[in-house]
Amino acid sequence: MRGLRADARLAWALLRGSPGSERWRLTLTGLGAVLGTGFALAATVVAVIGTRFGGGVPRYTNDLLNESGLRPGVIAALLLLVLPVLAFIGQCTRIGALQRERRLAALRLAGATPRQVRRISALETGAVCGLGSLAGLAGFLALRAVLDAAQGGSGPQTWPTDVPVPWAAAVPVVLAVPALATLEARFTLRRAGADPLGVVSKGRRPRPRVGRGRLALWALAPLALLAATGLQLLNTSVLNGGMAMSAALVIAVVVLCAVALLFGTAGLALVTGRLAARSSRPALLIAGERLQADPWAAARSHAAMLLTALIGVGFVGVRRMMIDYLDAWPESFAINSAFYTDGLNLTGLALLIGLSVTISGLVVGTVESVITRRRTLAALSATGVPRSVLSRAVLLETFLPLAPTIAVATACGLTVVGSLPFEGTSLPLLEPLLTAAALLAAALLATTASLPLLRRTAHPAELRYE
Amino acid sequence: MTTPPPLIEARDLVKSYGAGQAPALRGAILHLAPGEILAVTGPSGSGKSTLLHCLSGIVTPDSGSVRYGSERLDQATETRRSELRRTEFGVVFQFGQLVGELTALDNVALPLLLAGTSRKKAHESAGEWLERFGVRGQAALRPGEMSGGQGQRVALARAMVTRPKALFADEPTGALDSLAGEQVMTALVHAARESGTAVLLITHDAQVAAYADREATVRDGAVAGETGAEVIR
Amino acid sequence: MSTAHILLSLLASEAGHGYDLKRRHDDRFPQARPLAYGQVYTTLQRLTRDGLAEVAKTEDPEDSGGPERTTYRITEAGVQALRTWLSETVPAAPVSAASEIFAKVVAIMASGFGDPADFLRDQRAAHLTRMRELTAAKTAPNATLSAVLSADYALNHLDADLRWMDTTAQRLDALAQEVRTS
Repeated sequence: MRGLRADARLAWALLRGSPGSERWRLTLTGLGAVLGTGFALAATVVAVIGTRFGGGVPRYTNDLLNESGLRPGVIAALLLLVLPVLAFIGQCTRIGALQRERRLAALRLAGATPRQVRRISALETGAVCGLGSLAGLAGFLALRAVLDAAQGGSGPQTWPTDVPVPWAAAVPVVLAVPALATLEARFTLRRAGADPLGVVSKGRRPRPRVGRGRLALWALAPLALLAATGLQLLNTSVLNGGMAMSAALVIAVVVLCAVALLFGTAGLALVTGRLAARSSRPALLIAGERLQADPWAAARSHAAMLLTALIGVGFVGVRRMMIDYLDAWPESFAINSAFYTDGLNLTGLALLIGLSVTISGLVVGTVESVITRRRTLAALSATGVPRSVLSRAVLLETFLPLAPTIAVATACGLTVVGSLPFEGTSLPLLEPLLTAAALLAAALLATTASLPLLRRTAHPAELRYE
Repeated sequence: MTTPPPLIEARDLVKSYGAGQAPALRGAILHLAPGEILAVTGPSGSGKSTLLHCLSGIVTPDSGSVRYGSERLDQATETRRSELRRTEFGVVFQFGQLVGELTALDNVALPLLLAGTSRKKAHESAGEWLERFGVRGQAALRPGEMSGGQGQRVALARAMVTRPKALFADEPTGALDSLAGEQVMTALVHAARESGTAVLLITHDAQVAAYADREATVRDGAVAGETGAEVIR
Repeated sequence: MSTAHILLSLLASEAGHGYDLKRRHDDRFPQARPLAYGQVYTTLQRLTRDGLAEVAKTEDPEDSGGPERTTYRITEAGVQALRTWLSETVPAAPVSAASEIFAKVVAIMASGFGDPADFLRDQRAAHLTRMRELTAAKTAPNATLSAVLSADYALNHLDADLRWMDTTAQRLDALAQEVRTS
């Protein structure tokens, strides 16, 4: 216990002396924990509506909460929102990774055991996420109180504030968020702090080579796409099974597409990198070499973006088709069509929230990569490479692998949507394509947001600092 | 007169980093007597630093043995070697060994804190050592806010705070101008003599090597020659 | 540095006459002042007088059609004297000793007596011993600033010698090639 207390003190001392990037990381990680806790707590509240813990028969203005058949969907959506949050926290863990590695190595050199070092860094993340999680709980309770006061006591309510907070579920949630984040940090930093010479051996490390084992993983991408196509064909033309069968196949296709996209990004990053590196234009050359050097970095930072694209395009397509379908057959539905459009809009809102978290993660990723490479960038700048070329290189580094993968994601999404049985409607193209373009634009804008930092970072004066 | 048994003795060390690369050490033999100051010189890339890393237990050799007393460092666990680093060995590099996030005082207290010494006691000793190396005034500063010479003296204070049996210094003055280097070396030699600490000093600078009692020259991963005599203190 | 020993080392590899010795000397020590022929002549005479060298043969100008030429060769005593000189390290003095060290390295190569690498190693040890003494004097607790500064002066000169020896040690093979072919 004494060791733990000493470690906690050390972690605190380290935190106090941390540079700005470290505080940023911890603030953003804490914010992620706040969001994650909030979403998960909302899910627990929805889960108890209509149960014996949940105070009577539900009567809300929104049928999504009233219908016991629809509530699991709402819960799932809320829990799914935790995923981009976790991706965001993971992205945050990478901020200042180089500095942290150096710090852990220095600790090791002073005689800390690998276990001590890992404990100290886990204490950091765990404590910050714990604080974030508690803040999330406090914020959730405050919001609930405000909403409760705002909507008064009588009549059907918009928000389920009449449901008591299910503490039996809320407490585990508040504990689980920091635990998950700590595990994630532990995984991200699994190699950090192993080598006490990390402080001195920088630059001596060989360039990361693309191993054969990893090369094989890219082959998964076309394979998964092929399998997805097969299932898709099976679903639309051959099988005329029931609804459940069809739904299972659609889910399988979506999962296969997601796998293909994730592994395909690295491959596409390598291919576009190779092509770009042949160019004689300096910006393309720099971006191409970077992509070739570490194609998996692109896959890592764009993974959440691609999933968002896949789901977003799919969703927009489904939404348009459903609305058309409702317009085409207005009399065939017992409940009015507002119920469906409400549901669709709420789902859209959830997706938008997810997207904004994803974009934030992308910004964090770009900022991190610029900070990590600041010596290289400053050295390039010192040798006379114009800053505009560097800016373009950073943008291209995002654009080159992302543009083709978003195109593939769009194609995947549209194919899945096209197979859905909405009679009398045609496959919408305009909205999904606009969505894809908007996503790409948003990603580029997010990258652009990091360029002012580049301007400051890539200053030759940076070379002085070590 | 009989020579005392060596403090650390390395035999036939072989070490290479990764397949296909020329070995950094090929059959190096070296010993460090208790309390002596030994300079290891040689051209860059000759394996000096790797030799220091092996003797201090930072890396383990591919083959050969490193004896510390009756203990085999090359076979010790990572935990044991970490423990030795914070209790019986001190390490100083050219730069970068201080934790950038900690103040000079915390940095010097670090090995004690890691070993579980109370904060108050650790800070007391750390303060004394900072005083001895003439950097007491920098106690509240972080490494980035000090000059190179001050940083190296803080690093020395940290290496000496546990009164180690052996101090491993890899080009401790390599990044300093000659006056700052002289101050660091003088402080190092005086502190080592007073505590009876043996020093393994890696340098390519003869003026730094002249602070040592003995010199071993490394060439192509092996000790090619020695000058000077072991001084028994 | 002694011209006599240098000439002895040149004679040790191959007998030669005065002009030949002067040319070989000037080739190998391009930085040194060229030897005056008169100096070569008097030195050879002194060597002969001391029994370190002897006349191998004298060519009659009538036969060769040129000036009278006396070819000298080294004697056993000369070999001994040369070996003694070559085995001594140069005093590690604050005034740069590099030119004499260089002379010895070349002389070792020219005569084939001893190993230049060994010589340089011994010389390095001698220099370092002196540097240790100087360093000890300057870090002594009661050392005055004047003592420190004068020690520094000597240390820096010795250090310069050492650097030169280190780089020379790494280029001995190339130097041997050059000495052999000239």
